[in-house]
Amino acid sequence: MTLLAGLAVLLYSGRASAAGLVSDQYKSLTLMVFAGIIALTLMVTYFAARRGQTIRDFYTGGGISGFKNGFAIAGDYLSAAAFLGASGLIALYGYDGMLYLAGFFVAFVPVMLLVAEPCRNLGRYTLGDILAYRNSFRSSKLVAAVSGIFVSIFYMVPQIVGGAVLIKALVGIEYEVSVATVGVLMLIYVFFGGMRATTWVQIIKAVLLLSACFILVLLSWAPFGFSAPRMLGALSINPQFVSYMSTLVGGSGGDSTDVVQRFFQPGLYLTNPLELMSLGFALILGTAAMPHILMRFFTVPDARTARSSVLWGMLLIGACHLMIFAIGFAAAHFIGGKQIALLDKGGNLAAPILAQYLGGGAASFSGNLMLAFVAAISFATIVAVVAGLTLAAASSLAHDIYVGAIKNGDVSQKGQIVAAKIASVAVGVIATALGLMAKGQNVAQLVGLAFAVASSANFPALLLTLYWRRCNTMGVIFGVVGGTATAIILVLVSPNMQYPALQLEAAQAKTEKLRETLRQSDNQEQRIKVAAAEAEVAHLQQGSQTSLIGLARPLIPLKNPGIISIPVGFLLVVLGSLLSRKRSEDEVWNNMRIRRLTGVGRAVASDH
Amino acid sequence: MKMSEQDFYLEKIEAISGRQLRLVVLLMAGFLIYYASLLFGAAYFPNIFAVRISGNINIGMLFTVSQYFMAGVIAWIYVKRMQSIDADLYKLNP
Repeated sequence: MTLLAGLAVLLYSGRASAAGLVSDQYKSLTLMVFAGIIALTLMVTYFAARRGQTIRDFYTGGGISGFKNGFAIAGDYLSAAAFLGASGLIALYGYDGMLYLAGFFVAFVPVMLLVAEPCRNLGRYTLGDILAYRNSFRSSKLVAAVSGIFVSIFYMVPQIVGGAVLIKALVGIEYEVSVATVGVLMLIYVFFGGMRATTWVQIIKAVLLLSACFILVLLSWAPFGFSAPRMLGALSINPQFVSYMSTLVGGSGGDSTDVVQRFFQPGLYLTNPLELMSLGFALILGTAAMPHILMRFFTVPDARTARSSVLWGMLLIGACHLMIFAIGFAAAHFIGGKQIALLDKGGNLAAPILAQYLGGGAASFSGNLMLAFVAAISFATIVAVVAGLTLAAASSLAHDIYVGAIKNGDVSQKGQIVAAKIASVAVGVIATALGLMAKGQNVAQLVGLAFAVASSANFPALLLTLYWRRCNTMGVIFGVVGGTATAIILVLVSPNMQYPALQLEAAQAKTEKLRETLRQSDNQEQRIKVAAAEAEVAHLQQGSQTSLIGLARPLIPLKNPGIISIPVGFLLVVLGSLLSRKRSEDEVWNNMRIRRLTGVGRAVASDH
Repeated sequence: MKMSEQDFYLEKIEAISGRQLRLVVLLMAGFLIYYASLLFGAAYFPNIFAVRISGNINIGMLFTVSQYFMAGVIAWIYVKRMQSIDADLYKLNP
């Protein structure tokens, strides 16, 4: 084991280029910290695999306690986007970062109220089980699975891509190596350890992440006695911050206090009101239908435990978010927006740089140790979330599509296990391949798309199947297929895509402005800028003038289609149900209601 | 007779199910209103959000952080009410 670890460190140090936040002399230290955390997770997988597996073990891992599952939920849900991304947004844009993050947390209220307990009572392993409860078995399974797999992949790819980019920026490991490592690790956890290993990896990650956040808040807010007015007061008179704000807000008026106050007000990042509402609703409704979240409710013995695990999860996620708020503002104060944006435009490196600074700076041992930990924990964060998503997608593929839709439920235990393992490998390979292909692409909007599909396709179908008697198979099919299609089509005609014609216009305008400046003050530097801009215009003029699907400009101004596609999704389920005359018989409907409420007759999960 | 026993059971279950649904609908409505007003406020009333309370902390920031506690309150109410519903269910299905 130690020999392997040593070999791995040697292999990776060779690949770590000179670039990266970590000072060169501390590279091996960083890799050792990485190796330590990864070794821990692999050990856990080994023990999980040794306990042997039935198919029930593979998918649900068994009846774990609410407390453990709460940690696993937190580990499954808190992504690098929350820890690194949101703290960066707060560091750069202040209030809007808080607003953005809050949506991710409150999304658990609908989960707790509407979805957690009914799912545990009615389902076995997947969303497909629940939709198939009183609808046509094969169609519901097929439709739920395809949509679920789409959502999982849309959510997974940005995690892998974003993660690899960050690791490269932090430690200098090449993009492809990071992606491959994430892929291999996630496959090991899922293939060998199934849900048990995945659960424990998520628990470990949650503990590490919460500890890291706690230490960062402790170190950065102690000088201010943990008083928010004092800390923010110091921030607002910090000269580096004031100068950052004047550059950001520009000459758009007001004296320096007004300019500084803009940081604490909405509008620096989320500038489009409709967009904000759209994103907000997609978040709160989509989370309740996300495959990897729903999957966590099948791992507990009963509905009461499902309820308490949501509560524990909310407590941990809420605490983590509040700490992330604190970290974001601390980064704005100690490091400063300018520095953060220089290292990464999106601000994703704010938390790691803060860790390095608080530890003692870029030249110190403790500074780089802190940075190594934060980097390793970010990596673990990505792997844990991706493993959860892979298992969710694999269970859809194997349990819903193969065992359910294709074989109509008629597969032996052994056959189910084989199917599940093959499915995990398939999903893992596809996700890794997409991650490698997406190098250099801006895939962040895929996350928005994942939530859009989950909230417009899966959520309406789930909600109405659970609570509306008149809902039937036709409704579910209309809703899931229609909702997914609507969300995807709306994204294809949205500003998310690349529009060369618009880029050309922007480039031409920029060139004009630079030429104007040149006329006023002719010098070498300015001439170079103008030449570069003109070259860009020429380059753009040569390429295609339309987006991927042939549009010159976006048809709708929204990046997140939620506010349109969610109502459409609901309408489609209603329409489909009403069009088909089928109505659940008394007995079926009553049985479902009784089981949904009391849990009598539910599927059993064994111990983890 | 078996028939009326079943009907009796069903009636009881329906009553409890109704209580649970009412609880959930009310809490969801409360949650949606509270969160939507955060979104609406940030989008269309930024001047109100900008009103300062203590130092640099303004209404907007307090409102956002309060969302976390709102969720906690809703969770607490839900758990308390469900405890009594669960007790009634247990009486029916021991």
